[in-house]
Amino acid sequence: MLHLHRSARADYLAAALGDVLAQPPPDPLQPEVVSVPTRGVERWLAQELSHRLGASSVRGPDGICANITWPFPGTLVASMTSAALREGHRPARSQGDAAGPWVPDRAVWPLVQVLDDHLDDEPLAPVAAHLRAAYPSPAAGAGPRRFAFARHVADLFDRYAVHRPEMLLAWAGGPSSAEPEFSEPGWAADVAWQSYLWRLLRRRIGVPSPAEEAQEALGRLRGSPDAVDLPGRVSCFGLTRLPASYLRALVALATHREVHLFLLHPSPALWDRAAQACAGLRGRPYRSDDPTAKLAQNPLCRSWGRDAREMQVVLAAEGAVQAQLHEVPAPPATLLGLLQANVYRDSAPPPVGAEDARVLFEGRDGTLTLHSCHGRARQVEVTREAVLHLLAADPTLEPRDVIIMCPDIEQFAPLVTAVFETAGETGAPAMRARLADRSVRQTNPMLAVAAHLLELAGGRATASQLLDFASREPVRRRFGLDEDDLGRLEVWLAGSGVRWGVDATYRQAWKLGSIPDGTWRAGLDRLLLGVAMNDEDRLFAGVLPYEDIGSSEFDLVGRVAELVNRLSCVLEGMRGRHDAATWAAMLADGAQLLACPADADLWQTDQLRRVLSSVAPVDQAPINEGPVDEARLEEQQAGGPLIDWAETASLLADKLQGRPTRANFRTGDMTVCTLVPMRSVPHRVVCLLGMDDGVFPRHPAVDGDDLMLAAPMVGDRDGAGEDRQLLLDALLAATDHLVITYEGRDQHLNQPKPPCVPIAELLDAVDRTVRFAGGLTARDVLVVEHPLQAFDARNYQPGALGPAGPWRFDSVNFHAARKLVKRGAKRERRRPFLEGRLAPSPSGPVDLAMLVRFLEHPARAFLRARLGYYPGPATDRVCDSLNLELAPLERWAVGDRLLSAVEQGRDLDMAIAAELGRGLLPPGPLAKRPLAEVSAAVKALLVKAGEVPGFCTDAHAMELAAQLPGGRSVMGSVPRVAIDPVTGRATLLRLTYSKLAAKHRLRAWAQFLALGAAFPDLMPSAITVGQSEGSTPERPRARVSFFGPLGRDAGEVRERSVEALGVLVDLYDRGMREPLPIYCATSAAWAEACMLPDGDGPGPKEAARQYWQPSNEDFRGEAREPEHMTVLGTVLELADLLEALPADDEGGPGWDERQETRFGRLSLRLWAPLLAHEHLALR
Amino acid sequence: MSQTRPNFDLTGPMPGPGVTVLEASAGTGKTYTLAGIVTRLLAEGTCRTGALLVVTFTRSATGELRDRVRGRLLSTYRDLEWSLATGEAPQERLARFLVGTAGDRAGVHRRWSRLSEALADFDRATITTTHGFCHMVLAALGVWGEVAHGASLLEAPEDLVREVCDDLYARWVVMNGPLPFRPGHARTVAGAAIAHPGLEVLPATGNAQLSDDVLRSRLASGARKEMDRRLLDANLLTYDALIYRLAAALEHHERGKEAVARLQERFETVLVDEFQD
Repeated sequence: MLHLHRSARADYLAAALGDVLAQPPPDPLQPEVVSVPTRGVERWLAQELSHRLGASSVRGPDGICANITWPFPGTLVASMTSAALREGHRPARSQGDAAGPWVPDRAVWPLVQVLDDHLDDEPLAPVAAHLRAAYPSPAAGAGPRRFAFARHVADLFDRYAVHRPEMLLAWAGGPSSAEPEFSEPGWAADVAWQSYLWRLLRRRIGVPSPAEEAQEALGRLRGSPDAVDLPGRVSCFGLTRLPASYLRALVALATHREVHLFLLHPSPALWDRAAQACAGLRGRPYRSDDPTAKLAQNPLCRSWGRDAREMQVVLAAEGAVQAQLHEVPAPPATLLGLLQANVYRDSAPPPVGAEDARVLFEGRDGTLTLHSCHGRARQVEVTREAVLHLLAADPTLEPRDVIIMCPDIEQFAPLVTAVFETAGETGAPAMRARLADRSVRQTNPMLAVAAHLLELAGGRATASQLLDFASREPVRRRFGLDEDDLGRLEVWLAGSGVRWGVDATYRQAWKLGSIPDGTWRAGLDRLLLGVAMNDEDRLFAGVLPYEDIGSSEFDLVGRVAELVNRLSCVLEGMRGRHDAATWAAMLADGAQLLACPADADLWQTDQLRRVLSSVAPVDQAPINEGPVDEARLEEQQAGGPLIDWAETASLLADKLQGRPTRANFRTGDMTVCTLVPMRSVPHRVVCLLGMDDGVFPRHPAVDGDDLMLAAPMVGDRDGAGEDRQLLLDALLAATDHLVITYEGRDQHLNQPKPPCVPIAELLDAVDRTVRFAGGLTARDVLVVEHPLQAFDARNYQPGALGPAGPWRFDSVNFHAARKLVKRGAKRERRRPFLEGRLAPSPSGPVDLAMLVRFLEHPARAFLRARLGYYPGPATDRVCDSLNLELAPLERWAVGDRLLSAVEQGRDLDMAIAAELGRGLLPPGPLAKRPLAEVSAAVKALLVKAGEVPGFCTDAHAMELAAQLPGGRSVMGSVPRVAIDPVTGRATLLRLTYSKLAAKHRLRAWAQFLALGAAFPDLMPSAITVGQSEGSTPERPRARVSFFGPLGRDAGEVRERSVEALGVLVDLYDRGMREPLPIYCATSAAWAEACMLPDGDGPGPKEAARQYWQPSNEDFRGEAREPEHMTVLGTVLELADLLEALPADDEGGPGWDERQETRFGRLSLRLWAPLLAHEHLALR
Repeated sequence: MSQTRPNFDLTGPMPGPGVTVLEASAGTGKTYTLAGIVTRLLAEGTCRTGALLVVTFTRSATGELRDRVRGRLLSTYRDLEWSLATGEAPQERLARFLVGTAGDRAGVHRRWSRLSEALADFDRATITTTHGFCHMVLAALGVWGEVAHGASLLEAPEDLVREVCDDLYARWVVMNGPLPFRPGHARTVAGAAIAHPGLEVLPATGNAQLSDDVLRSRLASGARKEMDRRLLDANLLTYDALIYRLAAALEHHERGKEAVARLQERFETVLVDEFQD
């Protein structure tokens, strides 16, 4: 006997199910069978039933729900069918057990073989043409990639078996029994190739298809109660759509058993009317002939309720018409309740006419609210605040009474986690939100590793991909890599010139096998050699050791080498085509070689193996009909058809998709889940998140191969229709409040965006049902427009965004908002970087190197030494493509390294060879020209330097300690000092590949003074040689800075050196307490212009501006240096720089008091002594 | 010229069959007229909701157009409803026209109920961008089209173009010695060739001498081929490829007819907004 139960709400259906189950079965140990559409429903239903079964009172706390099996309808029907045919089989619990070789996962493999064997058959001509045009294999010699197509066809055949079994039965009859229904032109051709292909597949599989089996199975089910081993009572809960073939099986089962179907139907009134329209219905009609299509009066029932309405027609077509109604009490007289009541009654809106019969509402009553936000993140924030308001207003409301449903959970999941879990940090009440329905890729990091491996296999194996892979949690765990190690790895990859490709062989796929530069292998060789030999730039067997690897890092190099080696092997193995089982094994083994789960999560590895093994074909049909060629022979030896990585990727993509699961659904916390059928179990608060135009509803299915779409029948699945039904279910499931958020404005352009069509329909329905005071529309009253920013003052103005109090709960943004309001429209004067000077740093000896760094860049030295702050982008970034041209900075670095190699007495040719081994140059011949140019410039510079009197190459480093009055001292070393064997005088030498600039002169000056103060007897002088402005390879020009001895004898030299060094140390001490307004080149230009006689040159301002903000866009200018922007707050104009006046202690002897600005006075303080003593020359 | 073209009247005879161009300056209400045409076609029953195609150019324009068309359907629907209830003619011009030409009250009711269905069935009307349309049509063609299942769109192909070009450049230099132009120039040439797959690359590279132009031309055709190969390998499509694939499918000498028939069967009326873009 078949019993139908219907209700508009799932909790009343659950109560009805409880009443049914409360009757004890004859055998108390036999499990009840309750079929459920999703695992979430299973959990909810078990919770509901445990309040009813065996409870001392209704909804009592002491009930129990046990000994129930919960198969999906498809599994139940499939197991029934197979059991009926094989007599007395137990119902299977999982899809895989019951499913035969016809499930798409398995049928796809014989289908691939069929395609391979028969592609040239005449009836398959359109398929062959399509495959060859759309799926040609990128690899030469291989056939078309047919897997994705085969999978698509296998899915189609599966759907036909469920929804159009008659059609398949006709196909099974042979080509002569052509379809009566699909004879229309345009589809005949499709029927032809599909039926031909299906018959081939049927022959290859050799087992009757489910459609064929069903006939016989139904007969047996009707014939005998013992055909299946099922209890005398079977229930199907929460159906919103039931394919006709399933229904037939259930009807047959009902011959000897009590079968209860529990249907969610929004409107009892509509049901009654539709029941009349369906009277005398023979067979399932086409959608165009649906007798109930125009019955619905209520606009929401009409537009949103098609699935539920059609299910009634499907049932009626099988003769199931009598349904017991479980009434829902009348909803409260709120706005939401009114809408729900109208849906229950399917009442048309009051007629338009002279008299306005709509119910009057004063305004929003809080039961239905729409929030228009900017972008996704704000939607999540607004949802959180809305829920908090509801929780605050009603002490009986608990987080578990709230459900948040979202059409696209993968996009929103990270935001939900971020916004809800960090709420506590911003001063708002923290809330736990449980995310259900995430994809396994998200919940199982090991699977994510396997998926990542496959992604790598299809790519170029770039340096950043390697870095990304290494930073995956399980990979880091396997190789013991922490955050610092990854930072080190990034530096090494950049420094050893790794760009892309495992090795040269790997690059052959791109026909670049002749370029070994910048592969993982090349970089690894350098690193490993760097551990073995710490020799400076000397090639060993053609490899340049990586410099700068400390002995504490040897271990890390070893681990990195192991990681790169293993990954290389795995990637090498995955090249080319393999059978599915091999792919699965390689991915699983690869993931285990390269990653390991945490101790508590060892299940992740098992799940990985399980998921991967499910993609491999289970059975292979031994028949081989086609001609045997070499490729076919290979496939026979292998475990099935060979597929390449792209086909494997599409094979896996499906397995890694998110599915509704039981996990995290209704755990006691607030649930966040996808919008899927029967998720809409009643909750007091239902939030719909992300109802954006273009995302919701899904587009109607478009598939030119789907014969069902040619003539859709009542009850066929359709994404857009299903989404709308979900919306109707959600509307009815909200017992107290419905909160909807959508993207009402573009977050970048602030353009208004219309809500998605169903939401617009909802607003229209409200407008036709009620009227608001003041003639306002639903859009005016119900939609709250939220500001772009969380710190906008409107968030905290009482009543501005709805509730009487402020909208937001957190204090962090409140402070920000208050600051903004206080500042008002007027722009406050920029606050100084520091309110005053810092306390002096301990006055020990001054490190000469530190002093030099300070003089070269005062702001940077201050930020680093006192604040430990390094603004600006990191310099070591990996790059993923081979360098074809040297950038100017890279060219400079090459020249600088060559020059210093020669300066240190090494051979230029050896240095050039080392440069080639470094891996930073363009590959092969492309390096030749720039290298030749740079080395020519180096040679020319060496020649020029040799012509400078006193310049020589025989120089040594010297340690020094210079005593200053007052107990201060300067200590350190100067790198290159030449002592004249005849006179005994010392010369400080420096040769730089750069253009001689202010910083080189300052460095020489400080070292020169320190040398003079420490060793006055040596009567030191200093020579610095660099390139000159306008120097070309053809006409090289050098610029020389020369400091002669500071006095006629050692005493004078010491006195003057100590005095001038004292000035530098004084500036240094000041500069360690605040960022001094000294900017290296700008200050130099200013000071030089000031020292010129009046009227010479363009004047200090113009001269300084050339370095501060040059008119030539190619040069950055010091105004744009990150450190200067940090301490000045912005890119400051030179005029603004000149506004500050000298401090009280910046005057007196030694200070140029003609300088009225602080910048000028400090610049002169630094530069005047230097300029007074320096000789500059061009050569 | 403009004298020879008639002024369009929303309440006059509807255009077609064939192609009709509506030309107007900015702000004169092209989109308004378009929404009106849709409303009239649906109300008069000339076109089914599912067989209607409206194409515009950007995604944001699509959203706005959808909202406008629905708004117009709704207001006309209400006007007709009001007219049915009161027996008076509506104020709005199109609604008044629809009431006036309906014949009797039953005719007005028929039109009203068609609009009501169109509103309930609004998702079936295709309002989309050019690229969305191409994507949809290629899917709708099934085996008669030439796009693989599961191919995804590469929205910004610039990186791939650069990669292809750099590879070709490096390969040439390593095998044959320096090229007479720099990598930046090579990228410009290859990028242009890839962006305009319909244009012929000149000069033809037979056994010609390796002049600069011939080298450039070789690079350009090589980059096109290589780009196609890599897109195929990664199962990717670019927007340009989408449009060219559709054109190729429709012009195919054997299968094109079947494909065209499919499209014609599916769409009765096509409206294109902002065609000048």
